[in-house]
Amino acid sequence: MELHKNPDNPLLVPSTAAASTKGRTLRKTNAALWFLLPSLVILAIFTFYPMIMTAIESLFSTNVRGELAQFVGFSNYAEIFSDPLFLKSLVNTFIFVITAGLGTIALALFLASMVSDKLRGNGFFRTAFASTMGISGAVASVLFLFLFNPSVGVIGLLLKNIGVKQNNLVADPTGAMIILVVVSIWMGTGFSFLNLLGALQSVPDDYYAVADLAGWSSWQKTWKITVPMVSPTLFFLLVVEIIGKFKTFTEIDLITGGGPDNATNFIAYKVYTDAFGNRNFGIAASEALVLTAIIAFATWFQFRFTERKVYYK
Amino acid sequence: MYIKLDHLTKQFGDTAVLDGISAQIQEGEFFVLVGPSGSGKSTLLRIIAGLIPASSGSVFFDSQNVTDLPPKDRHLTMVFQNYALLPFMSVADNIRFGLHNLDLDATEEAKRVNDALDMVHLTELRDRKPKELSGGQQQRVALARAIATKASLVLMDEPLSNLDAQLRTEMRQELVQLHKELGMTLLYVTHDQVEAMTMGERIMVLNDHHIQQVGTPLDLYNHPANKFVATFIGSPKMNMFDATVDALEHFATLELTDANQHSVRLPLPYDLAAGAYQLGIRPEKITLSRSASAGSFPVRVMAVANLGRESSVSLVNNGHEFIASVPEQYPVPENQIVYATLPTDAADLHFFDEKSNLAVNNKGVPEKAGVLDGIA
Repeated sequence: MELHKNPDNPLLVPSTAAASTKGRTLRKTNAALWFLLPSLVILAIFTFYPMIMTAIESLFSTNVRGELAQFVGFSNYAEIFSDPLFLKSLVNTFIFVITAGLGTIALALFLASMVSDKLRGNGFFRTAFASTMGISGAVASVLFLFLFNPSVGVIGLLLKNIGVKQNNLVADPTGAMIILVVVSIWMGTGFSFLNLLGALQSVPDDYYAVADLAGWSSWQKTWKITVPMVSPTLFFLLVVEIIGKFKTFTEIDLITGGGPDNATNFIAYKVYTDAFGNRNFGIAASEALVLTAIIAFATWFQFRFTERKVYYK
Repeated sequence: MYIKLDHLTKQFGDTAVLDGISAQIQEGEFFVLVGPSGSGKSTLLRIIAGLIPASSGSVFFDSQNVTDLPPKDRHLTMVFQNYALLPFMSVADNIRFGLHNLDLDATEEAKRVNDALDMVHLTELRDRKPKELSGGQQQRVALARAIATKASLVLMDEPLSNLDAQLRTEMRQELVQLHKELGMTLLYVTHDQVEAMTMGERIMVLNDHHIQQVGTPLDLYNHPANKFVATFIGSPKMNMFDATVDALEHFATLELTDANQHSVRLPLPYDLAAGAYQLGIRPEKITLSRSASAGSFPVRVMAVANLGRESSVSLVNNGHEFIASVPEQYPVPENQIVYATLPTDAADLHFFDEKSNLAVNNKGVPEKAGVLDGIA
């Protein structure tokens, strides 16, 4: 009889309760798959397929149209790691990611702690500090290009007036790096600020009251209460910011174009110029994979060594 | 430590939170601040702790004016409603956190932590994190942190509010016991009048930014200074009746009616000036019987809350609802007519001035004496 075969009916087949649970789990999984299908399809087309193709392409030489020409094994990788330009790019990328990443979080934490109190007028500053989230990278780049312009920009003229000879920062390797770090911090602060503000405001006031009664100083309260309490947010932001900074592209393209003297030719930008400028798709693919590996490692490293210090509720 | 509050006021912007608060708290006293939410009692506690500044007025500890001293220099400790245990620190570290400004050497510090843990019976949980403890255990850690400081003044802000009813009753006993053993001055804030009555040696009732009355629990219960205290202290709360006293007559006429639809008249226990009053009568002072007798009047039973050893009976007469507490189980169905008798003893009849809501003395004059108790 049909009913007796139905493993989902525990009354009829009491001896196979385990099988019944299994059946229910299976049905739940099926339903879940259907719900996931739209995103899976989109991810497959726009993320997984390009990733796999990039991995394959990195093992081939290609023609100018980007079609696979000849299997070359790991020689693309050997080539980029013996290319001084790539190694320079690697070093500059790290300098940029670390300064801009930490700078963003430090500035955001500072601003958030300034306005987390319920004081009159703080609403304005909260909106102002968060507003950079709504500005596109391209707009910000052009804005800062003007600000740093040696003959019409406010910052450019200021530098000239305080006696900086090289006030055309974009033309200077270090100066160009500084501009990109500044723009990147400015762009990233809004998001980090909002997250940290939320975290700060969820720290109960009573913790500080206990600390006040026990005579801890402001500085000690910050390190003993605030930082541990917002550590999950700090950790989240560290991971997100570091990944984000590695992927910086728009600002480089619009402000420095990777120059001067390749000083700001970070890996993500070099992948683009090698692929679509030099039409060397095999090389670009292997560089992209190296970048992926670096980001993956950086993230793993943060989870491995930073997360231990993070307190989760 | 002896505490004197001298005309303290607190305003947040244009809103007055506390107004003219003056009181004295004796050394070693278990002193309870009680009042409904928003009455300013937590604000007062935080002003005493130095966590927020008063708008005007002074706080004295012994003879020292501490109004402008920072919290750390006031040598007091505080227990919070949410315990304020740092979630990433162990139990022992949380207790140690409170000892910072005492500058103890390592041996003494360890001893303080161990003794405090021992006192609240949590020694074996010393390395746990707060989230691994039950609410009651977290409460004990917060207590241990206060005990370890050996401060002579301990402030507690609704410390039992987050516990379940049974645990709360147990902890009340323990706190009273702890206070007896350690002998510190204890200022205890609560909105729960039962807590105030069962724990406090003296109670300050706060409402509407003002002190309503200061006194022992039985003072407040037996001689409420005004209508607010009368209805706030005691559960079920005191019944209030409109009463009119006519000149020349020694009766109060109530808006209740007897079996013949005549107004119920109560012989006055003392002379009162003619006029309108509020008459307060505690529910347990109203007696109920199944049959009519001299001086009784019929009432309809609206509901009966049986508490096992006693019952609260909601009654209605002539559109006026009131409650009688019966010291027994009361199996009477709703809508049954029973007969109520009001007390005649002077101590059981609380007359309040209709305008000022203050209790009137036996000369019929509003009395402020109860309110003034405790002011230097």
